[in-house]
Amino acid sequence: MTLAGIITMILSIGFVWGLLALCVRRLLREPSHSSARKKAKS
Amino acid sequence: MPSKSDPAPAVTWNSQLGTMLAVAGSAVGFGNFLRFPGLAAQYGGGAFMIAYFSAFLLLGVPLCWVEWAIGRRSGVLGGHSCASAFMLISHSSVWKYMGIAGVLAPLGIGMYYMYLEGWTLGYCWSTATGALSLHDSAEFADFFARFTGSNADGAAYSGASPLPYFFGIAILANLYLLYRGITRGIEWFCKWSVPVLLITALVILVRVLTLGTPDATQPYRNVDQGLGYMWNPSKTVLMVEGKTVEMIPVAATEQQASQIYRRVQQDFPGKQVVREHISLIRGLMNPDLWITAAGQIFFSLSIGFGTVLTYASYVARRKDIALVSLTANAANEAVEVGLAGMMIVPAAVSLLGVAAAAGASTFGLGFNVLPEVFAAMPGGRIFGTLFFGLLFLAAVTSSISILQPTMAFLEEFWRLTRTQSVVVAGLIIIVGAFAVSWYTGEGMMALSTLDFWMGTMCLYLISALYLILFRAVWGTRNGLRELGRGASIPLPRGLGFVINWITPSILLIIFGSWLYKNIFQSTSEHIYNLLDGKPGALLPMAWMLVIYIFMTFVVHTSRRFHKRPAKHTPPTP
Repeated sequence: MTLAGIITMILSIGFVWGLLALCVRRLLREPSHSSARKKAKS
Repeated sequence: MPSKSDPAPAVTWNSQLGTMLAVAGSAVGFGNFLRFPGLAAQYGGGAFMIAYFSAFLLLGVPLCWVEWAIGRRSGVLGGHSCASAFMLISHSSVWKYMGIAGVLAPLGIGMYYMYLEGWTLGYCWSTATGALSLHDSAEFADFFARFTGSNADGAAYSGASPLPYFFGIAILANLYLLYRGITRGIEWFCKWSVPVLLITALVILVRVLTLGTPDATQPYRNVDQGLGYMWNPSKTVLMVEGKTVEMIPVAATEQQASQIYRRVQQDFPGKQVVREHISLIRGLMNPDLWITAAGQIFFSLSIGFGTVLTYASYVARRKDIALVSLTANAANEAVEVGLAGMMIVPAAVSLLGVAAAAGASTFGLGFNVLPEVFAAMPGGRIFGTLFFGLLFLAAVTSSISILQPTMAFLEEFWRLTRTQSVVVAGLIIIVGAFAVSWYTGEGMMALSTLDFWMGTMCLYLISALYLILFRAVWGTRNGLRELGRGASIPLPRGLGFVINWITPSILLIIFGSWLYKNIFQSTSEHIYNLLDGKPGALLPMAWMLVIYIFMTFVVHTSRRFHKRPAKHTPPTP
């Protein structure tokens, strides 16, 4: 595997996992619909 | 303009995480594990990924957002299928009839998807029981032909193959999950199956990356060579009759390269071996690479299936859809690039060589090459079982989403209960899936016919309809307002411009290129099979026509959605 190949791999995988991590982090920060519902019920 | 008093959808998802997992599960399927790695390797890693990510940002993400916005707005107004969504947003009955395509296409895809699920379940079972512990590629090809019945029409039902049992289990599992409903069926299933799928893929990935050099007599067959073949932007390959058969290792001296060349010449006596250098710049200048990458994004994200629209219609009015859509897309990409991209090609190259991984079709790679890879891999029986189990889970999360638009259609236009809808949808699917599994001769004719017309042509058309509806009928500004409602992320500046101009242009180019290649340039076998009246092509399409007429009749006679519902219409029961 060449250095360019390693860079391509790291950039590609970093981009998709990084994007996913950012999105999930943001999503989990939002108040959960289900927990909000449970609170409302109780 | 939406009003504050617009009714909420009668059924909504339990949580945003559940929605995201359901949509991600819907998108993750065979294409992620079996199609993407082969294409990326074939077009030379780096150049392909540049085109791929460009298409992701300019075609995939915007089109998904368009579908989410249409879906959520439609759900708020009480419509959950493509037909009702088009009607409610356009206020025109003509669109209602055009929207039937968005219900018909996923139904047609579902017919062959069930059959393929039967394959994955059967291969999972056969690997676990040792029935797939075979020795050479001829034996694996023979197993595939016997198992799927691809030798002749009706061969799967001759009693020699257990496929009908697995096929039956797959259909029942799907119908059961649909019967349980959106939250207790689809959301519940995706909430545990998608994480299980990710963990299983990670376990297999670790196994693949620790393979090293499995056979000391074949020093160039190793993980490093596999990763290099997959990701190196520049590489030198040896080709025979246009097919890559070997890659010259980066560290090889000119003498070693000549040795490899001579060995390939001996392996293919009498045939010309061509040495070709693939480079980043040359790759980027290749229009075919850009079109292929955009096509992969299009199919990988399940754009135009009508499933995202239906799923989005169950999101509450003030909940976020922009972030959930982006997260689902990112999850799909993480599985495709981050897991499958590291797993499939390196495993095939290190155990069987470059020739096995290069140029194999989606099914060839999945059901001929990979079983052989697992048979040669230490601990392969366990990892093979896990892999085909993973494919089965990925397929089920996709197929339940594919059938949900039909369920929604039957419930809202024919006023059926969920149980009645499951029975009707089940009967439609069983008849179609039986035709697909019966007409397996001549290169799986029924499957490839449905895949061509319903799984490709219709998806391009439906996506074009989404864009026309969003831009020309609803208005991009209104659509973006809907997308931004409750959004946890700011929408990118210039998104309207991209949706108005860039995305339609890319879609037009890939659709035009597909039409040129498959309809105008070549004498398409799919058209001639129909014109020649071959039953394998004619009967599945005739069944689709019957369903289309039935759906048109139901839409025409239904009293719902004749007019745009008043703003104060009570929620649908």
